[in-house]
Amino acid sequence: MSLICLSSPKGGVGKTTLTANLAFAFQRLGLPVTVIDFDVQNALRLHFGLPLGDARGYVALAEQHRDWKRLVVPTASGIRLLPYGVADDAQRLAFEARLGEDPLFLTEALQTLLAIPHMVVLADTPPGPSPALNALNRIADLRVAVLLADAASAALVPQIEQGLFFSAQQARSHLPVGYVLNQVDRRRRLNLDTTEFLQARLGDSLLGLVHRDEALAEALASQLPIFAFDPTSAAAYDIDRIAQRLAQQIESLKRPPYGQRQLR
Amino acid sequence: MRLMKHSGGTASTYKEFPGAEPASQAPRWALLQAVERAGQSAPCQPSAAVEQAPAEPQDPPAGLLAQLAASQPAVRPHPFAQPAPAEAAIQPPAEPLAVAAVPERSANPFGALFRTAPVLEEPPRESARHGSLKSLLKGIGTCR
Repeated sequence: MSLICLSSPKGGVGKTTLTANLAFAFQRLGLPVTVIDFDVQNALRLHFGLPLGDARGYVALAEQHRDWKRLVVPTASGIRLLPYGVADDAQRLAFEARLGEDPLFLTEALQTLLAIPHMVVLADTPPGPSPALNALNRIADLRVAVLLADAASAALVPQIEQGLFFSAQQARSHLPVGYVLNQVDRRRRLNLDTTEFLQARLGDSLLGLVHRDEALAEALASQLPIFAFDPTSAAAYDIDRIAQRLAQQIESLKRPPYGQRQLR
Repeated sequence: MRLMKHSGGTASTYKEFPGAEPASQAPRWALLQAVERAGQSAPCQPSAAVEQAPAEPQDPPAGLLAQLAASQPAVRPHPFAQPAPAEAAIQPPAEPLAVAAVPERSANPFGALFRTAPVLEEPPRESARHGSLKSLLKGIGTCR
């Protein structure tokens, strides 16, 4: 039962694709998985085969249902999905206001889902600061910043390190923010230089690299997980490794620090 | 056409790779077909569609993907070694644009708005770009 928040100071870095495929990777590890879309673009559902015209979502119904487990949309993969859905401006603004004003709103909404043994909940957030990001930061077990291997992303790292993006004061997690560097392409000089720069800069906080791989986009277009579409692809390998790294962190959270363990 | 695919155990095989489409790709691009179908059908009614029955998910999940994952080989690791020099040389350096004719300042009706010096008199583009990149990364590196 862990909540992982995936976010990024800038848009277009592949958060949604990474969230979806990490969900498939966690499922391959034998863990029950729920994914939540906090982005009004409502694109996460496309990775899980929801019909384009399916307007279901939890945002429009969040006021009436305090327990979001009742709003879960089951998917063919077995992964539980909470799509953002279709919501009008009033519903969206009310939802965001509630996220910002009621510190227990998200905790209560997710507590039943998080009570499922070994459940991993992955939250996909809109780009940049948002009420959802702040609310998730307060309760997430792991916080992941997704960046591209370019100078614009690298320029945002100091903000994240200084706690200006994931508020350091309000965070529940004692673990530092983890990073995923997406669309790495070592054939391109700037991409390679930025990758090496961020590897050196971030050290162990860098959870992994996802190499630029057309198979990811093709998997979405084919409505298949990357592990079914092309299990030998570079992206499948990369995402599998990152999921394993996150799973190790989840395990470490369950164990008390060495000094606090009871010796037999 | 696949733009990039890893096809072997070495870094040099991680490159443009036309052809050899995976078998799972047929039928092609289900999502694009869904968009095409959605364009032909009547628009959905959001107000009706958001009313959904409470879902009863199964524990543990035993869906299609779990079966697929079980029947497929594990994702095999492959080393991402540092790029070989040959790889780094795939992209040739950009050639400076040829300037056919540079107008004289007096002949330019827009004054100094446009370049009047030949491109070749400027610092080499490669070194300028490299210098600015290094300075940017250096600036980020010192900003803790």
